[in-house]
Amino acid sequence: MRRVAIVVLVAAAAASPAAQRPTFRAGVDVVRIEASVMNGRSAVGGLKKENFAVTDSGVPQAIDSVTLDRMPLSLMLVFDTSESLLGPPFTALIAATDRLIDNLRPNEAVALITFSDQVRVAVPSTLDRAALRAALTGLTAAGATSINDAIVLSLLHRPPSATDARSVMIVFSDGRDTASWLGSSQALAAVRRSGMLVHVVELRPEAGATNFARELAKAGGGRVWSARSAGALRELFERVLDELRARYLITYYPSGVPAAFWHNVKVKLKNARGEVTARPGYYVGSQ
Amino acid sequence: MRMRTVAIVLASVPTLLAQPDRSVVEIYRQAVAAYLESGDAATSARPLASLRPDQLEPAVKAVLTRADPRELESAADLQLEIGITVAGLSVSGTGAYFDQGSRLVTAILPPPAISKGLSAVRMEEIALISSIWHRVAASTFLSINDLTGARRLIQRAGRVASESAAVFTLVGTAHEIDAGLNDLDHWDPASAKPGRTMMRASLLLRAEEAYRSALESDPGYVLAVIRLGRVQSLQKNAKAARESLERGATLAREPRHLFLAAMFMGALQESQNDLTGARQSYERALSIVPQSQDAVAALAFAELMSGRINRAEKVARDYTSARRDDAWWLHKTGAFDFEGLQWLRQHLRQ
Repeated sequence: MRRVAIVVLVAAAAASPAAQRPTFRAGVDVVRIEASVMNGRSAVGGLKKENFAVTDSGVPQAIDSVTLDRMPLSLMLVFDTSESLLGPPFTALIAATDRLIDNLRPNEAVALITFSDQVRVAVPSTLDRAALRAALTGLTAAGATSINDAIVLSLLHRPPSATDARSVMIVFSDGRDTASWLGSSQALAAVRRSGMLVHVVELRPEAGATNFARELAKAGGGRVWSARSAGALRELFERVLDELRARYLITYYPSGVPAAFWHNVKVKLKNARGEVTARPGYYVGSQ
Repeated sequence: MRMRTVAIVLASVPTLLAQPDRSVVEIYRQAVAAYLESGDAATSARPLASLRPDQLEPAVKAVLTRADPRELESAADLQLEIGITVAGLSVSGTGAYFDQGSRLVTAILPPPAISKGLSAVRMEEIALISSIWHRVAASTFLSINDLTGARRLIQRAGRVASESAAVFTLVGTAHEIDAGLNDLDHWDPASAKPGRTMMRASLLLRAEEAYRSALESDPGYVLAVIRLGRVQSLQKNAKAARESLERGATLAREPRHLFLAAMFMGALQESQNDLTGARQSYERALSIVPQSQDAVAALAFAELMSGRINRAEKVARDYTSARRDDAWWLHKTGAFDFEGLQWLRQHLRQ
């Protein structure tokens, strides 16, 4: 029972972007890492703490607990609405998003933030599906692409209710940044600093993801999902949701790690098959 | 800084279907006449808003055929105003409006056989109208980082005013923006990085040369001073950059120039890990242009990196909760030639 209480407290404290390794109670530091394990397109379930190996700053750690993360999701959809999407791709995006909303549980909130050259909060975090659908219907595709500015400004709109829900950002785009003040390095730094789980959905005719999408997903502990046609978006969004529902929560008490601002964390599997994705590390205090 | 911009309400425009007895040529002619009379682009252009540029083509040709200099100038300026208005929504739309406007403004100068009868003063005036028109159109494209459209128009502006400080500065700005777009470390594979780095250095050098040419032509041309500072900052020449930006801020009288100097100074300070100084500079920029997303993003990021999360969130949330009815692209990159647009508007009114 005491362990459960600790996990809950850690989850609450981890919502603060300032401290990914929150401190609570005298001398007790716990690190909470969300990890997904996929084998091809399928989530791997039934893993226990014996199946994971964690290093913090290169130092192997004793895992305290591994549980399936059951907290409701709080999705932040950060969507490209630039001119290049005009026509069928935009229609497909709206339909895929509509379907994604259908598949959420009633207690799971969604915020919709759009960007072209300007970043707009189309709908603040809400459980109201009608408001979301109305906003989706009203969206238009126009303007250039300021994805870097959008990522940073969206991170700063993380809903305050995130203490009892798992905040996840899903970034959708079909192209390169053409209009941001901020550079891609700054966007990645902000994601690393925030501790927000970030998944990236790309629509591009070429095979494979862009470097930026890969780095963004890596910084946010998520994955890149590439669609070569707009028609594939619906299925991709469903797969993202499937994965989000199959994440493990790993906790450990850091031991023997150097005092550093940034801590690299690596999560690997033992005696199990699959590909692990998890946030690459956490910050302690301020620089 | 509130800039007067054209606000054409696309949705409220009566369609041609509602006016079956009026040809596009006539609607266009009346819109141009109304603009010449009132100077109110928003109201004058309203009947045109449901028409695509290709649908306007017969009307543009009719104006070219009539070859009335006042009508040509008015029509060219109206095309410019519409192009500026749609710039943030549709790059291709802007290009089409500007292409038609360019033909109209170029036609003010009659063929050589007729222009022989014009005075030197009038010839000079026509050249100035054309140069400034193309400068403003080019600066609109630079405001949305569209270099292809911008360079074509800069070339045309340069044909009639090749030694102008404003034209040199546009040339430099195009290179500077190009260098920024080539700074895409996280987009390209590692193998492409050396090529991009060389390309970027070369573009920055060409931008620097263009700004220096502008300052040779007009030593007090403040935009060139500020942009030279930006290029020096990007070239990691911090000392020279600071001097240029401080000089630019001292010379600046226009809010948009003060805004630009503050933004570039903030970026310079940030690159030197002076986050306190950067925050102050970005706050200054934001106080000049409260609706600038660039200033908001820059300040929010500096606050975030300073560990001032609450402050960063407030900056971001204040921005997204505010109503923004200004045409953002006029101050997006600081490249828009607002003085040029004002000059064209005033000239038409004279």
